[in-house]
Amino acid sequence: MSGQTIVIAGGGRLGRRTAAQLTERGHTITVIEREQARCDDLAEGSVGSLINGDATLPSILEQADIGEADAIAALTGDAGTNLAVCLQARERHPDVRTVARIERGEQRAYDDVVDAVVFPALAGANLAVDALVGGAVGTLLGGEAGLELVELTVAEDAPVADRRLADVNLPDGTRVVSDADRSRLASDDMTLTPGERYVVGVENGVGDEIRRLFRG
Amino acid sequence: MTDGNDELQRDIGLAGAVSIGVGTMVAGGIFVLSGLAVATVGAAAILSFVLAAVVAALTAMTYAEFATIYTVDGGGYEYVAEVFQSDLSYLVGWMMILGYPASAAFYLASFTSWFYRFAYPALSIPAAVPYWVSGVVVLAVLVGVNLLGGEESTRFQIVVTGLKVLLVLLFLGGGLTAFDPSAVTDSFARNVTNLDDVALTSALVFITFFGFEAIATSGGEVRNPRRTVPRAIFVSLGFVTALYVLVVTVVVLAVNDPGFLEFLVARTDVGSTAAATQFVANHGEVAMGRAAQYYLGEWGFAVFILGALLSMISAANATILAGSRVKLAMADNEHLPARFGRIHPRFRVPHNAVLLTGGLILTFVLVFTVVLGGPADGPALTWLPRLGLDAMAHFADFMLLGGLAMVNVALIQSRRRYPDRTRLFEVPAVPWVPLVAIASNLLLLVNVELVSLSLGVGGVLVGGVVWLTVID
Repeated sequence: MSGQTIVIAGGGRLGRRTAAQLTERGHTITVIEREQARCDDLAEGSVGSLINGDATLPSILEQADIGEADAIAALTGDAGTNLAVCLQARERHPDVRTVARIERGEQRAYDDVVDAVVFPALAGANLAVDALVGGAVGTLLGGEAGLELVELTVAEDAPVADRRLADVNLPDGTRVVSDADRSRLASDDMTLTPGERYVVGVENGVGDEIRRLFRG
Repeated sequence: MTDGNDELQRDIGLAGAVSIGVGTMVAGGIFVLSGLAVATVGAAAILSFVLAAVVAALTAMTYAEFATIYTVDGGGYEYVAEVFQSDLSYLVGWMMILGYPASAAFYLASFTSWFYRFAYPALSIPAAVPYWVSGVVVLAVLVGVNLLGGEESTRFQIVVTGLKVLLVLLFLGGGLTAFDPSAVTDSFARNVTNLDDVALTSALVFITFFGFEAIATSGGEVRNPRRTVPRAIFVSLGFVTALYVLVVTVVVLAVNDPGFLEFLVARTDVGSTAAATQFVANHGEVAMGRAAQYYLGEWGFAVFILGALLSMISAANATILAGSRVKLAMADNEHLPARFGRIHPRFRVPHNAVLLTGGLILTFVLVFTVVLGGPADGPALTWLPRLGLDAMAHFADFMLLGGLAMVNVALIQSRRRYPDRTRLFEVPAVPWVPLVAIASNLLLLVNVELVSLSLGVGGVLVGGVVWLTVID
């Protein structure tokens, strides 16, 4: 049980889900939640230890033993609060990994402030788009930072169908990453078989073109 | 880095948690202690048991509060470690490491001695089979059950504890048919003014209620732990207190029943009914066995012996479970080598911690009873001090009481350092209630006999040496 010690600020739906999954994997979780009612609700489960208080207060972070923690995720509904919590945490414990939930804007804008951001609205939107119009397209990594990683199924009548990878003229800024059953990296002499799924990395701006090549 | 598959499962419900508590609290001592207590203070022993339960409840409340803050394995050790975040908590863990196996060894050694005295003749086992063999066999079975899986050992615990409670109830049912209120009230009135002895008897039986710590050590494997663990602690405490009060009542009825005393004189080497009370004090278990026989008929004696043997098995099993979980928690805090924190991928138990616990118990059984003791009527190695069962029990008491005191200290500190941690249950009047609890723990601790006290201090020093040489 060499799990990590992780503090989660915000016991809403996202915080609670995250805490439950991390607990399941054997990590030690402390959840900070401001609302008494939510805290009582969380107490009915088996998730780690709970603190009823405002995570932006230094005394509350102290009580969460931030100095011993490996990481902190600020997942409240308010991005300003989350950034403040991460800044506080880093000040008290420079080695702690910080993750903040944000609601809008460019993810890279926070690079200097936190180690990573979570943008639930964007992740949800990607899934919704896949479900609505993606069909055989699955988004593995959204294109917010410039690079998109997608799973593409080759259609029967697509331009690339039944052709060797080396013979396909892919646009600049794209690279096929995996072979047909996604067990190995792509090789030049493999054939793009209709019905099979491939992982493809796509830089911004050429997504539409590569989709047209694979989907026809 | 482990993944989700190598985790302990939360598969202990309220019944399982209560059976761990009741299992530890009702060992074979229920009859030995009750006989002794009644011989000293008559029906006022009821008062002694209730007083002991109330004092135990002071510390039990501390455990209940902690169990609603921290939902992991390790019990008192883990609570101290969480609050103090210092390696000093290692010492508490070390005391539990020695305390749990020592008390398990005490249960197994009692089992061995009962088995030798009652089952050898009944099953015609040749006396050439060393008396300690049965204890070692039971230990091997219990370690095996604990290796099979948390769910298996909990189920085993529920079944064995349920059976023993059933047999105790049968015994009570038989005894209470002879209920004579005047015998109880007379005896009570005669003894209740003897407050010193009532208090001393209370101290004697206090450690019986220690089972609440065993429940807390499995907090990481209990479903809905913040509700279940405190409930199980108080249910066990209340149930066991009621059970003891009833057993005491039956003992009082028996020693005041002329018919039973004649029966006892006829079956044992007690000279007269006048000497019978003294006999009950010295041989509570035999006297109670005869009482079962008198009130229930010939098979009552067998029921009684079986009940007592099962009691010791279920107490030993709960103690093996609890002891191994303390080691698991210690390994997680780097207070023991990491291999003791490993969870077996298939059986989902901390197999190394269970094996280490089994090894320690075996060592205690052999050292205290075979090397330094011997069967009650057998030869001891003459050049060594004869320590035997009581010394082992007191050694365990010393270790466990030291732990209890530290956990109460930790509660006071927790309120100061972590005021906003969510607590579904709160000890009233902190720091006063924990302070009274600490005082009672320490009072009982310094009252263990001198040999065990020095063994205990020696054990703590060994812990310090182990820390400096192996772990740190």
